[in-house]
Amino acid sequence: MDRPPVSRGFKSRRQAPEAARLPPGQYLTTDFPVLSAGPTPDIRVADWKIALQLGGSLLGKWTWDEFEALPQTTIAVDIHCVTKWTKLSTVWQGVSFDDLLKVVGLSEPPNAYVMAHCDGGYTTNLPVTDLVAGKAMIATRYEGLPLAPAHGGPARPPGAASLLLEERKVAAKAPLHAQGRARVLGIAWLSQLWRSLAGAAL
Amino acid sequence: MTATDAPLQQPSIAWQTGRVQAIVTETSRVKSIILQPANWSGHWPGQHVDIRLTADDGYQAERSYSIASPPEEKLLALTVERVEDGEVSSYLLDELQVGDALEFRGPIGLHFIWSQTRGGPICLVAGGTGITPLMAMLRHRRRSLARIPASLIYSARSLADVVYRDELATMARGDRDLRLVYALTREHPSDWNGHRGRVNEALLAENSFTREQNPTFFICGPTGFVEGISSMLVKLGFDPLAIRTERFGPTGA
Repeated sequence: MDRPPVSRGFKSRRQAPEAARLPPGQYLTTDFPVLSAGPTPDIRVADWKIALQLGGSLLGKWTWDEFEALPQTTIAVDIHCVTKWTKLSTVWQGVSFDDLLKVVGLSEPPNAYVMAHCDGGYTTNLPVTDLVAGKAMIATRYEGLPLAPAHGGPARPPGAASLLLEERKVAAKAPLHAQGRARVLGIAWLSQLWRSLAGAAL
Repeated sequence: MTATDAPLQQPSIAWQTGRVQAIVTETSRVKSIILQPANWSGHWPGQHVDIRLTADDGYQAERSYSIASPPEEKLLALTVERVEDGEVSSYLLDELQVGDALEFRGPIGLHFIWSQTRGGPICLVAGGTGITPLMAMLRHRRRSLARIPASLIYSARSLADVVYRDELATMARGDRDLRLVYALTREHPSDWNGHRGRVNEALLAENSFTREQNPTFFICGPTGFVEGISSMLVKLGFDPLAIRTERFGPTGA
């Protein structure tokens, strides 16, 4: 790879020791920036539902309370947003995709892709390999507290490593569907979060 | 990025080196950098680029900047606001000179875009330098034959903080299909007839077309601003899917 040209007069600003965990070009933030494509929806947990479908048949569906009663997983990840900020050691709690499959009685994913449908008409097609083996969850808590609406609350669906900035148009049909009135905060953002996730030691 | 809007093909985005052709002082805190790309296959109004700075020891910093120029222009205009303690913005505003090389890649972004082929009406709401991608839309609109109904509601601290003020005035003059509304939040001239204070529901209702006209909204500004405006629009009964937003994080860029 070519070495990038030096920017005349630009001085190195090395950051704290954590900077070793900073990918090139990213900067550390302790804030939690919001990246969203539209208005933040007002979703009450009483109205929230999530469902898992295979082909045309329903594998399982949960209300908020039922979903909260499923086995919970907690993970710590570094978020590297494509908009250049990095936030280290963020703690998320929710239901892992593995557990979701287990609960509906599947020992392994029946298809190579999952289509996530979200509030606002978003759909995201995700390769199952990026979701299983502890790589993804439907998150409902951030740093121990319920997820704020602006950050995808009450629950946010998984994104995946391979999405990056590009819209992934998967040619294959994706008969396994996860439907939820959950909020996608921007595919790029999610993909970065979950890319970190995929790389984290769980 | 949405199911309701067929995505455009995202071209591969490689880093390239552009040449700074001009630097325009817009306000006391804002400059526009006019860049000659090495190769550019065009962009959509609303898209942005990433800029990458490299120090001689290899240290790098990257930030995203919206494109202010319309696709019809060969040179790219990026409008940069000073961010307190911002390592990239301070370099771009204080150090960068005409003739310098600047590494960047783009165009990026497929959701917050508009072109005249999509029609209107469009209602643009800017908070501060959130005007930048909206300016690309207005400049593009001005170059199209169809006079697409548009309104711009632009919130700034004071008149002196309004970016592209003269150009906007020229644009609005003699264009009955463009409505230009300022909201000055901190300082205003004593004879100011325009809106004083923050954008509120009444100002939005007056200047954002009717629900029956199905306007598309583009809102760009700081997170709090965008949250406030978009929830007011939802409350006014506009379709949430017709409201597109672009937010600066609290840390800015």
